[in-house]
Amino acid sequence: MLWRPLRERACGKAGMESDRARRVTRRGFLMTAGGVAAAGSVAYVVGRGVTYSGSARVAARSAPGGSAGLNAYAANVVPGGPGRDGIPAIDRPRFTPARPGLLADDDVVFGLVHAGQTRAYPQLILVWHEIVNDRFPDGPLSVTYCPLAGSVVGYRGRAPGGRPYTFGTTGELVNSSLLMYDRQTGSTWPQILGEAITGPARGTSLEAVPLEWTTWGRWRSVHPDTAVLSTETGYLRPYGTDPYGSYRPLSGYYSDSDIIFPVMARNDSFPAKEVFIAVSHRQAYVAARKQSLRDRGVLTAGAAGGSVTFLYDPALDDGGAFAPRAGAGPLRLAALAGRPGLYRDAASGSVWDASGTAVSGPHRGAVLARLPAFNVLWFVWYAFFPGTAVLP
Amino acid sequence: MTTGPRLAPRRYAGIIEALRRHRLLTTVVTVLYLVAYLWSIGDIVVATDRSRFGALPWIQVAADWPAKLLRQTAPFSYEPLVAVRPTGHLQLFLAPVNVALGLLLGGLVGANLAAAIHLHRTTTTCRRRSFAGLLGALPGLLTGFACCAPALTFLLGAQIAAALIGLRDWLFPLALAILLVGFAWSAGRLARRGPPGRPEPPPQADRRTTLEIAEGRNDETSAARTGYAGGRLRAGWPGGAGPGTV
Repeated sequence: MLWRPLRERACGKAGMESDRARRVTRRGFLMTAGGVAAAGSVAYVVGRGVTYSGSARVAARSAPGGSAGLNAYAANVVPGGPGRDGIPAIDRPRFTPARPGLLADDDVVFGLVHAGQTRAYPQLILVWHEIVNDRFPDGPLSVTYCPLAGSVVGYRGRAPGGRPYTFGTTGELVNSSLLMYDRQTGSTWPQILGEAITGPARGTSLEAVPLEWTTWGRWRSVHPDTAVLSTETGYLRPYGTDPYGSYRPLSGYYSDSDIIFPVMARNDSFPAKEVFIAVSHRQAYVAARKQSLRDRGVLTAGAAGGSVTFLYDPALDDGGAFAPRAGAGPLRLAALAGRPGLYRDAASGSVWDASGTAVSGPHRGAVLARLPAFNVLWFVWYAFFPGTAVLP
Repeated sequence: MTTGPRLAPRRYAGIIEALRRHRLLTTVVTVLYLVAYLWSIGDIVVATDRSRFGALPWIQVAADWPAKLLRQTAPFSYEPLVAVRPTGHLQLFLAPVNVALGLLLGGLVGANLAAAIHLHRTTTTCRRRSFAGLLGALPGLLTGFACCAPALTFLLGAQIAAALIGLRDWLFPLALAILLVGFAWSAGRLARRGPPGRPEPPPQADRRTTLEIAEGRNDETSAARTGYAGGRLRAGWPGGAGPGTV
């Protein structure tokens, strides 16, 4: 046998002179080899199971809605590593005024103007908490962020008893995306869907509130009076670091092509981690490449039940989705030459800004209906909505 | 059985001797493992860029810390209660249970290493030399890595990371089991060795002739006649001057 001369050379003749020793060594060798092979097999099988099991359970579902679709999502829940509330939501957020040295200008923040309040949520805090159960003058609103999906969106809603929802993290994922639970009913909610897939609230939806994905410098220049989420969260975390990589410069998970967790559907038409601005509107699903929106300023899709128009905001380097005003026809906006962030309506001649407000023309002062679009990575959005329309 | 009387009175003498002789090594390995473990679960953070959030206080205590003492953030990982930032690039998070678990694993790694080295140095046959018990250190470290999937992918790749996340709940018990088994195995070997400092005799071939065996003559008698005494056996065992006298 091959190992024997090797061992003789390593141990010397004296070490090999005992038959008993050779028997034990051979047995040990075989046991070790068998153990390694078994461990490797287990790791391989488990690895394959975790990585690809989702694709084997893809249900006939291209869009949410219906019991079968919710069951498919529920069947594809996988553990993400931490336990329930292992990533703790911030339940008593504190805010500080903007001040120099708080953040670098190119640090990512999620901006929200809501109920007369202007608030910034630093990505470098939310990456450790993922959910902020915030309060506004008009009631609670939960800001949710999923680092794996690159998505941020606010949610509000009320449980069957009338109590407002607050959320925690389950530590589980669907399509590599945050799965929340509400503390009022225990139902579980994929962040991308905003619809409960298990529990008493199953089948009901939350009201989505869009946030701006921008940088601290841009947000502060547009909203110098903004308040900023404080690091006094009640928990101790290495704020200022990001376990997934970095947005400054882009690195780690945010820049590579690795998909760690199983997804229900895949499409390689675009890089997995390319950022899209996506929205669901009247059972239609539309996604626009963020880079295309930067380049062209405005993108319009004729979705079922009405058109969806994406407008680029150069001040914040973000985009919003808008629907035509009630009773009005489809928007036909075009970027105004030499005036970034302004868009002219070919039909009426009105000029609209990136926030969807008419700043001149016959419709001056009118406001478009803003849809809850959000930034999201391509592979996550497609996994949830394989039937999505893509612009351009 | 000739081994019974030797095992019973001082069953743990061998392992105690190993730990006593290598106590410095055991301590150093325990501390190094603890540091690696805490780093792997994110309780020791080395940051290259600290230009955020102004000056965070150099020491912080978690709000309502008694309630967080046993609050888990992941399997076998607990909420930190105190944060210390001795420099701008180093952050330490103290979770007592994490420290205890790290010390437990680190202590076992150190003890396994001490026992393995002791066996190695005092063993006369190659087959006794084994560091298999140290394999238990690896799952313990992976327990920490598995807390954070993306960090794993940087180190191991997405496939292995996905597998380890699936095994997350089992990594710490697996590490503990391997280390305990390894330690018990080493302790057993040392116990069979006999009193501390006495090496195990190598198995010897029977050098008596067929006639001598038939006549019932013992090895010593035969050795006296033939001039062959089994090398190390005669000088060092039993009643010899100990190891290294040949």
